Amino acid sequence: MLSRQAFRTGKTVASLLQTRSYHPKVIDHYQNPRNVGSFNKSLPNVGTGLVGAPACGDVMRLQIKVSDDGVIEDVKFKTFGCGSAIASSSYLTELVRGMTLEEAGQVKNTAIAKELSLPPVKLHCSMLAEDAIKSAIKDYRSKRATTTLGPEAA
Amino acid sequence: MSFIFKRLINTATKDYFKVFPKTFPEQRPTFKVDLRKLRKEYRGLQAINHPDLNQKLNQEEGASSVINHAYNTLKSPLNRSQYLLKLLKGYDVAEDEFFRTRQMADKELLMTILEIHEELENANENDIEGLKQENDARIQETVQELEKLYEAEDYDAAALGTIKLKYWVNIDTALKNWELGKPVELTH
Repeated sequence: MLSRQAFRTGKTVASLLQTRSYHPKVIDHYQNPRNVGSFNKSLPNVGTGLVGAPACGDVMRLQIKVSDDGVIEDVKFKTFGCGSAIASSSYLTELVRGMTLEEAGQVKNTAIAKELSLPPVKLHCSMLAEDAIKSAIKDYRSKRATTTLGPEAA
Repeated sequence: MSFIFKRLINTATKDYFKVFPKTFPEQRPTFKVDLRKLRKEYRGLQAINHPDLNQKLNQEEGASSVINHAYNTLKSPLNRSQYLLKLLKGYDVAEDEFFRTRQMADKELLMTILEIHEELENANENDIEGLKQENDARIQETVQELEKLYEAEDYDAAALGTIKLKYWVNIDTALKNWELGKPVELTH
């Protein structure tokens, strides 16, 4: 009987523990997310990364505004996902602002996970954020390639 | 009786379709399910194997728990599809690792989801019902697509369809948890 009861209540306890295990930094970023919003994605100096985590169904959009000398001047994000995914993308926007594209391209998910003390089950949220910045940089570079090379490249 | 059922449950831990022989007389994994039949058979089985009535069997094999798990897996189109892909192809679409090796980004789908998310954030009480109906239609459409794909044994396309269904189901959850002024987030 006892085990049956434990089985029944198991789910509630698990979700309670999961809520509790959020680090204060995650809660801070989640409650006051930094740099939420968007840029006009058709601008030549804006790179947009749109990534999804199919396994859990999270979606993240990260946009960078890049100066002529290749420095990230401004960052915006929008995330439809769990608290850890929102916190990961919010922290990432603070992290990469002011970085060169090269530096930002080397940001590893482990740095995000460490800063936010993400538990192992939430590591994929930080990976999604890493994918998002890489994808935004790629988008910006492909835009520049077409605009600077122009018709001569064709 | 007990012996037969024990055998049934032993097989069933590997193949949930075999837990419900009346619903799946051909004993073959399938995406198409008669949900009313399934529910009826499930209730019948639980009546016989309820832990209070059959403590010995339950302790030995966890029959009641297997029946529950099998039912919850098969009744939900998303769970059923994930289970089928694993059973038939070894695809684990509930794991991130499955996607690390595959390029499955559907930008249009992702954009649609962000748009719906935005609608949810700006919604008021009167909008929710309409958004729910729209999303129910998406779920239904995707389930019908999946039925065809499984029939055609196109499992790679079925994996993609399952991902799409997962996104819709997440939106459904967000709609159910929606409260005015509360941030729209997912729990999983």
